[in-house]
Amino acid sequence: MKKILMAMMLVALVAALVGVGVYAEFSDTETSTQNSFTAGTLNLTVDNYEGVSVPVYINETNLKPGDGGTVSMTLANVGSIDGEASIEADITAEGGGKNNYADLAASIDVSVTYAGTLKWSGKLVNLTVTVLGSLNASASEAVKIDWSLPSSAGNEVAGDSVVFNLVFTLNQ
Amino acid sequence: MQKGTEMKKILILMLAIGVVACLVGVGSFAAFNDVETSIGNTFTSGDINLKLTGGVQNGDSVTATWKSPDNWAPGEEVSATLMMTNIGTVDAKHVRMDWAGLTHGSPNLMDEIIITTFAEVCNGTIYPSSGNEATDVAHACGNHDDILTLAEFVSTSWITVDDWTGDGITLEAGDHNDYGYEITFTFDANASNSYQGTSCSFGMVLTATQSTDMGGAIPLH
Repeated sequence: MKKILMAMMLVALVAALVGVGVYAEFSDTETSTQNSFTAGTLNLTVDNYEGVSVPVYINETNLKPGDGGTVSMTLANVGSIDGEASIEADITAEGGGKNNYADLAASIDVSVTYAGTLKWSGKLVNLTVTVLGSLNASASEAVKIDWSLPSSAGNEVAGDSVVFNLVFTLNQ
Repeated sequence: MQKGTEMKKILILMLAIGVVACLVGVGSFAAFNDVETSIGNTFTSGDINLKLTGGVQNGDSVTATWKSPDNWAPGEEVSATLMMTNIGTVDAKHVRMDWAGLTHGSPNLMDEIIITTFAEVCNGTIYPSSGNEATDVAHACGNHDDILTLAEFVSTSWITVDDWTGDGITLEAGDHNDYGYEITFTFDANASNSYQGTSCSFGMVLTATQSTDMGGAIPLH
C-alpha cells in the first residue's frame, strides 16, 4: 500500500514539473507607452465676447431714406485649430408698416468688409451664410458692416421693421 | 555466576566482530582506485529578448509612437510604424498585443478615432498585399462593422501567429528587425464639437513568446 502511495506521489510530482515547464516558456514583453491623442479646439469670440454675451451692434429707430451707418467688430479664434469665418444675417421678425408689407430688409443696403477687403454687398435680406475668410488659431480680424437705407426708398418702407441676428461662424 | 561468565563471553565476541568489521572497512577504503572528472559540462538557456523601435526610445520600450499635435482637428490623421526585433537566441512564435494605461475623458475621444490603416511590416514587406487590413480587424471586434475605432481596437487582445511566411514564427532570433505594425489613426471628420479639447491615451504591450498558446487573444490575420 505504501509503495502504491509513493508511486502516486511521484507521478503527481512529475506532472507538476511538466506543468511548470509549459508555463515557463520563454517570452519577453516591451511596451509602447504614452501614445496619446488630443483634439484641438475651435473657439470664436466677437469683441472678446461669446455666447449670449455678444452685444447687439445695430439698433436703429426712426430710419428714413438716406440714413446709414457703420458698425465694426473684431473676430478672434481663441482655439487651437485654424478656421474659416463666415457671416449671416438671420432675419427673425419683420413688420409691415403703412402698406402692411415688410419691405425694409429688401431695401437696406449692406456691405461687409473683412480684414480690409470688401467681401459682400447687397440687400440685407440676401445676406445668407457668406464666407469672410480664414481666421487662424490665435489670430483676429476686423469686420466692418456698412448699412444704408437708400434715398430711393419710398413710402413702402415707412413704419416697417426688421429684427435679425448677425451670426458669425468659425468652421474648420 | 555461570550466567555472568556467559554474558562476558558474548560481549567479548561482539567486540571482536566490531573490530574485524572496522578492519574490513579500513581495508576497503584503502583499495586502489582512480578518479577522473569530466569538467565544465554546462547547460545555457537561450532567450527571447524583444526590442522596440518607433517613437521615443526608452530603454527596451518606446514612448509616444503615436501622438497627435495639440491642434488635432477632425479629418486629420496620425501615422507611425512600430517595429520589433528579437535580439535573443530563441525564435518567438507569437507576438501578443495587450493594452495598458488606457485613459480618456468624456465624451470618449477613442470613439471618434478611426484606425484607417492597419498593416503588418514583415521583413520589409507590407502585409496584406492590399496594404491595409483595418476592415478585417474591424470585423473581428466591437460591433463587427467596417469601421475600426480605437475604442474597439483596445477592447481586446490580439495575437500574431506568424509573419505571413507560414513558418509559424513571427520574430526570428538574431536581431532582424523583422516585424512591426503600421497604423494610421484618423480623427473622424464628422466628430461633433463636444469632442473639442478631449484627449485619450494608450499603452501597447507587446509580448514575444515561444508559446503557441493564444490565451484568448484574437489572431490578427
